[in-house]
Amino acid sequence: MNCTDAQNLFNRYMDGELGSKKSTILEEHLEACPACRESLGQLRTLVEQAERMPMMISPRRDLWPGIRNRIEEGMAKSTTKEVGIGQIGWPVRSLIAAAAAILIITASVVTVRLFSDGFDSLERFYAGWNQGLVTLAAMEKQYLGVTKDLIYSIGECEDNLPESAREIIEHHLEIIESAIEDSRIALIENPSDTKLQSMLSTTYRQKVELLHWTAQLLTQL
Amino acid sequence: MSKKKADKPVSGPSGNLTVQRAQDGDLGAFEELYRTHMDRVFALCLRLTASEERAQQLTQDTFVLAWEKLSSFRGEAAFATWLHRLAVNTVLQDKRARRRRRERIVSAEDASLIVEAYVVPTPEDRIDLERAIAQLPRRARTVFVLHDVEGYRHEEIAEMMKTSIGTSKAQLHRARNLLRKMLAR
Ligand SMILES: [Zn+2]
Repeated sequence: MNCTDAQNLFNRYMDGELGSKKSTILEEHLEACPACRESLGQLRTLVEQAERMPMMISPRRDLWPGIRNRIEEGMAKSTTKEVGIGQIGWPVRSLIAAAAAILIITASVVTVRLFSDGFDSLERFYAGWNQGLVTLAAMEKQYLGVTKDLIYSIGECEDNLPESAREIIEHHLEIIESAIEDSRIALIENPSDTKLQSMLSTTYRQKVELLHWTAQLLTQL
Repeated sequence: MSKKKADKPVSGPSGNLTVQRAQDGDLGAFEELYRTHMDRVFALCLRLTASEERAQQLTQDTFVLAWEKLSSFRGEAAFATWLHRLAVNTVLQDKRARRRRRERIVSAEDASLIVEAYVVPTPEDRIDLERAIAQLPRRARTVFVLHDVEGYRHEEIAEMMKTSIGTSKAQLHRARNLLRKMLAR
């Protein structure tokens, strides 16, 4: 057993999820390896510290007045039941589903432009991508700029979308964001992995496209 | 691990009687419940969101929701447990959060704001840990807080996060490994 193998077992070992056979092999390695002993010690300390964290933190301002107001407003309103926005019609629904499908299909095909008008940052983002010469760091910088612009333009208008449309968009954003998070974590561990880098930038692009598309959908409402 | 801190009842004037009075529509009784339980709910929201402002909002959301749902509280579980679970779900389902999340990568600066949210002086090593937790990716942070800080089991976490037990474990291991590296620097 080498150090990497050993370290991969630490968490399960600590949580008592490792079988006795593997535990014995790991313990043999620990016996002989001071570096791994130290790492495991640090992990143990971390978990102990987490257990001992205070379970109570006082908010720095009194939150009760806000709560009371909302409760009282709610009680006043409860007699006149609100009428929700009607069910979203099928064309919008399928449009959204289609766009989501397009997103997935075009993840690697970078020629598709759903809409032509946009921001400078958006233009630069797509242009940089199409030239294929962006480093991940440059890509990340552009990505942050363009998402900021798009989110700003979507802003509060997002509330005008029917609930079901928002849910579909959010669902896809969740998937995309999970992928971004996973890639970023993986990259912390393997910073020079080019496959991971291109996976991450592809995912950035997917997110930009989805936000771009959402922004466009809002202008058409 | 079965520390089950999450189930530990909070002592104080929050007996069944206060809950019953609140269930009967007594807002004063509900305020008592708020005063007894807010610190616990706020700590949870603060660690899960890594944002003081959002933690304040979500604490308020939780109690408003608790008032609305109070009639469905049957008293088989401790009120604290019920409320705590409600808070976790409120944070996980927060729609406002999604919009912000998109533009947000928690920086070290944000993280020190969280530390400032403490009123009481805090030992240095715990500040470091709070700061490091705040910088974790969201899902890894959620699982770490729920499991290692709050004492929930993977089965419960998987259910609340609508994910699998395996994913919950993988996120926990990632969180711990990342935290170890951050703190060892
Ligand atoms: Zn070793």
